Amino acid sequence: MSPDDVIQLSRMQFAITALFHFIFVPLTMGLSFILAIMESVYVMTGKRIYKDMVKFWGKLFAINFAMGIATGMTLEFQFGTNWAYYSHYVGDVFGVPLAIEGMMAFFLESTFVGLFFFGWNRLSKIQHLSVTWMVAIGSNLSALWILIANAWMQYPVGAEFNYETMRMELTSISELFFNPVAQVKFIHTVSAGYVTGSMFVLSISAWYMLKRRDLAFAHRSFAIAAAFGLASVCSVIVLGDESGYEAGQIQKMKLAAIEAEWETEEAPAAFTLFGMPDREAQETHHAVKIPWLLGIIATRSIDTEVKGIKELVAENEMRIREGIHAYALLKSLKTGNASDLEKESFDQIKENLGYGLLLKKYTDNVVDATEEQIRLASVDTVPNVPVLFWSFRLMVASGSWMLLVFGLAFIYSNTKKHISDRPFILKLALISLPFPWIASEAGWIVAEMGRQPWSIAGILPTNLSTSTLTADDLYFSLTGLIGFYSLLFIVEMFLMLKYTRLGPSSLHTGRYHFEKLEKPEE
Amino acid sequence: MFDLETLQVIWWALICVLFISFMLTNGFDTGIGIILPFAAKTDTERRILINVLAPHWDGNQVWLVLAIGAVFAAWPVIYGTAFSLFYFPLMLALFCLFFRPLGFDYRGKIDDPRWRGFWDWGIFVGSAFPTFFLGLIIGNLYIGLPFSMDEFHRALVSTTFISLFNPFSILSGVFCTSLLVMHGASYSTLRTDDALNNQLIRFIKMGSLIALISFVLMGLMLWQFMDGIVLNADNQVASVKAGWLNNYSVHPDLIFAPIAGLLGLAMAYLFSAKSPLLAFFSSCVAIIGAVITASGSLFPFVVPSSISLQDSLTIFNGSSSTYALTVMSWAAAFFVPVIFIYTAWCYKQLWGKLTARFIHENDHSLY
Repeated sequence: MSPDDVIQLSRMQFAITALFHFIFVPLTMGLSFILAIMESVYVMTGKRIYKDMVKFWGKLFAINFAMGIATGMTLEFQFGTNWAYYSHYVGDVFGVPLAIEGMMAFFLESTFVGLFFFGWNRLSKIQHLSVTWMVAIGSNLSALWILIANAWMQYPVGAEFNYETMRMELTSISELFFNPVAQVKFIHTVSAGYVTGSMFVLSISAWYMLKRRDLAFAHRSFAIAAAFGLASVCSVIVLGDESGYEAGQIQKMKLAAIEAEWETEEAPAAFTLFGMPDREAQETHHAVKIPWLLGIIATRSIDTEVKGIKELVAENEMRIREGIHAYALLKSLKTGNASDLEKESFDQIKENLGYGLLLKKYTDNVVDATEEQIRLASVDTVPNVPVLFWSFRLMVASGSWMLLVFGLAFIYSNTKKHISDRPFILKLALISLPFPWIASEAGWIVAEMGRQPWSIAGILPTNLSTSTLTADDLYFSLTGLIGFYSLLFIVEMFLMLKYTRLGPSSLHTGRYHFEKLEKPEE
Repeated sequence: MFDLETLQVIWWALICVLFISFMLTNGFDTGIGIILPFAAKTDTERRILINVLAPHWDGNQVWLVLAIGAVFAAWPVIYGTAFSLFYFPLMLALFCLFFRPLGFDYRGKIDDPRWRGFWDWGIFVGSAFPTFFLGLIIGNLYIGLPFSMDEFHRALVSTTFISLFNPFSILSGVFCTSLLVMHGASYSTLRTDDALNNQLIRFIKMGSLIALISFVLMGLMLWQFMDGIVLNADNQVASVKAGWLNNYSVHPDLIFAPIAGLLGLAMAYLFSAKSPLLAFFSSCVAIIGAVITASGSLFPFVVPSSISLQDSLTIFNGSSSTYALTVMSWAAAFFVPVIFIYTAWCYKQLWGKLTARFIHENDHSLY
């Protein structure tokens, strides 16, 4: 077991690098699809302006894509560098989707992206369009496999513990693939990516129209983004609701923590709209509640109760006691001269082994854990309620706001009065630019902090997952990562702003705003 | 399908193939990145070199991503142990690697000599240091690393950055770097015309010569001055003098790997000025020979321990389960050939010589 600060620093490092990586990923997923749609329109209509749109938004896509690659490597390294025991304990399961992701998706995306940028004069229209679709499909498939891996951390199915190798081993690839959490999460996450791409195009196009620049170009981009964005944001919200239901079935503690539902309420449970969750007192002050709503979301019924945190803690305490037995049996199995009876009884209770391991935080000798230690460990199974409570509400509020913006943008881009003459809608679109990122980052905080104290829910505590590093190692890497990421982010934003300001003029076709200013005769 | 032991050998071979593909493709990107500030002096020349790899560097880099992913999935405990053992060089390599994709993509986007100069060195740093560290890491596998396993199979790791620098591993780092310099230079001679070629040929010669000398020196060190470990019939690990050459007496055919390495390096040197195609071909042979030599000498070990011999990680005690390996074998059997096919198609579509004129005509769409 590693010292506390190594665990905290490792968690912080993973959180920072993953959240930073996810600034770029959703935009890649969304923009790649929007590029494919724009190019499809170009191939169907033959209008040059759509080709220019693909090329210009493609330039911004490239600036973002390079950052996605640079920051993605960090995550692949980190499972090994910082989470070595995790890698050993679950690599047999977790590594499989990652390897398949590389073979199936990364190659597709990365090989064809070069052809997308440099193949315009080498490929036929149809060939190039196919290449663009390959990039879009590749980037979305990457999301599929990494989310299958992530979903397994939330809800570990299709795997079994093997005491001889001391690790989880894959027993069914189809259970892993068809994990209900994975299916919901995949659609929810890629749709969020489409929303990000759409909002990006929508806001920047709105800005051009507010500046009265490149109206034809901006108007067409705006219309595509509004339609695609509206469809996507609806998908995110529907699948978000589906995740709520799925969490009600599977990730009960996470749901209770998100809702700050301390006590089990009578069915159907009320939904706490706002309030001040208090971890010490284990209650939520000043709660504003909507009757019935939580019960309906989480159970799709009005007579099933949603378990509260305190009841779940009590259940977990029982599992920790079972886990102590499992741990004792494991110890005896490891000596090599255990009886068949012991093997059998270990198999019966090994699903609780992980709960026994929670005690490792307090004592190396799990078998002799005191009542106080068991109580502390069971309280540990509650994630950070206020953080979850607020992150979730931030995500939902951002999502609802975007539904409104995309709805208005879609309606008004299809009316008689030209959208460029509706500054209010355009300004609304412009100021909404940060919301997809706020929603995504908050969403990941809910998903991953809601999984605590586990790295694999119910199987492996986060505390045990780290490498045997020293705090100094972590200070070194954390400083380097934060320093370089800040530097690169500034550079990226600088280029992004520069090219956004230039707009389609950056293509040097002679047909756009700044070029016309320079050469009025054209 | 297969029994565990067969699968373990298959995955050892497959991971070798992935590393070879990585060295062959990402290798010339990296090589070009290392020689960029030295071989090309003007901005146009540098842009020629960068645009040689522009459409492909991203796909090529995925070989590294996949190789690491395959190590994770097929050898989880090896992945975790090795990556935490090499924490410092890997983190430093990672920091340097940040500058590569950004350098390629951002350099051409602003026409300013300071901006472009910054990224030229960014690309150099992002290419040279990770390559040297890769060599350093591989070299240290032959020395053995300070780790042991506790009863819960947790790797207890204690290593310092300085301890990773020893004559053999430094030599291995130099070998790796010069190998890719040769490879990058010989690939770009295929894609550029005369003016730049004379510069590039000097780098092929320099790279192949240094690689040849360090390769021979490393062989001598393994033979005369270093202990290696062997797996006895009763699965006991023993340290013996020149133990890393043991596999050559058990499997005499393995000797073709170092011979291919040596011949490839010599031929690349000899053909560099006469035939770019033969020089590049020889360079590929040298890389394939070198990777097989490196992994074949270690076999079945991957990460030997210096403080607890029995805990040394091999492809047998460090691999995933039969089921996981079987699933991935099916996936690899399908996807790896498909990857080869569409990658080849992409190269074919974009093949051709890059000239200064081409760069100027496409000023705003190229890197």
